[in-house]
This record gives sequence, structure tokens and C-alpha cells, in this order.
Amino acid sequence: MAGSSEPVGLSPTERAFLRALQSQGVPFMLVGIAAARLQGAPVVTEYIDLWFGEGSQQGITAAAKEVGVVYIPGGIAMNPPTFGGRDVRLDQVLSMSGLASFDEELANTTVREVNGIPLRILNLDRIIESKRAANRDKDRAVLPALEAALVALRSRERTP
Amino acid sequence: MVYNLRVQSAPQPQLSTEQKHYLSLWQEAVRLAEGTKHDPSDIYHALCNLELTPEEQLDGGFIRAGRA
Repeated sequence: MAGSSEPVGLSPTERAFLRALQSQGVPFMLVGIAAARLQGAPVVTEYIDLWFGEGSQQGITAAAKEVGVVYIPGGIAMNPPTFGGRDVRLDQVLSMSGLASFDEELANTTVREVNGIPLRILNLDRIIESKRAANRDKDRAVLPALEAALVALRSRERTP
Repeated sequence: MVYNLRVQSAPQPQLSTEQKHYLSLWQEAVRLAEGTKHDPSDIYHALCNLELTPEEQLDGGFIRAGRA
């Protein structure tokens, strides 16, 4: 974009953590608004939602320890699994409303390279499906922009 | 929001290449929104976003830009 500064994308710590997850063999995908953003949706968020495959807890903990990301496993104080740190904008999603299992939804992802890291991104139509199913105020509020973005995305897929 | 979507007969000022490009995106958005419930503005901004790199897309999507 004309006049803008160098894009940052993921923070250095986020990059290191995502690479560490991949080294540990932890299956994950980006979901939610950040994933929608990576498919053109004109929406904003504070966090990058990560959805992990079954049995990933140990790998997540090891990856976090390796790169110094604060990670609090779920259930210590009735808390969900939680990330922390000044340049860590990650959130662990435990389930996705209205969608199939993690393994089944892997077929509905696209790999995009962000800061040189190939990442699995849940396809926009599935994100919309999950927002419709979750049906909270914040989900309903964002649906028009997501649905419009899907129109734009499909137009580009037809005529790149 | 109400847009003036079809002003075809207005005199066209001299436009730069960049202006022409974004105008064509807007016209595409209007065409895509036609007969749907979608807001042309949302489609236009999505079309613009699709021209960005993934890093730029993420930067534009964070409320606390510059935090990282």
C-alpha cells in the first residue's frame, strides 16, 4: 500500500512459537477473524485463534517453553488454555461451533505463507459456518463483512 | 449507507493509473453486490485486501497495530 511502513505480520515471538509447534509436529490451523482477514475480510481482531488437533497439549507446552511464550494449560484455575506475553496475540480455540472434527476440517484449509511460515488457514466459508452456528452477538455482527468477503474471494478465484 | 452506484454519464476527470485501478475495484464490487444483500463497500474493501501480502493483511486486521 502506498506510503505505508514495512509490514510486520506476526510478531517475532509468534513466528518462533509457530515454527516450534511445527518442529514438535503439533497439528494446528488458524481460524476465526485473523484467518478471515488472511482471506481478505475487512474485519479486525485482537487475537490469532489457533485450533489444535487432539492430543496436542504436550507439544504446545514444549513449543511454548522452547521459545519463551507464556502458556497456562487449561483447568488450573478453571481457566481455558491461555497464552500470554507482550508480543503474543494468540488464543487457543477448544472447539469450533457448527463444524466437523479438527481432522475432518483439515480438508477445508488452505496453506498460506505468513512471514515465511506456511500456515494452515481454515477456509472462509467454514469460518462463516462456525460464526453462524455460534450465533453470539459478536458473531452476528461480523457476518455481513465475512459474507461480502466470500463474494470477493470467489470472484478472485474465478478471475485471478 | 446509500451509495450513488451508477453515475455513468458524469464527465470523467483525468484519472491516474492508481485511481483507475481502485475505481475498477469499486465498480467490480458494485457489480458483485447487485441483487444481493451485500454492501458494495464491504466487497470493495475485501477486493482491496486481497491485493495485500499476508503480512499486510494481518497488520490491517489488528486493533492494537504496532504492538508487536
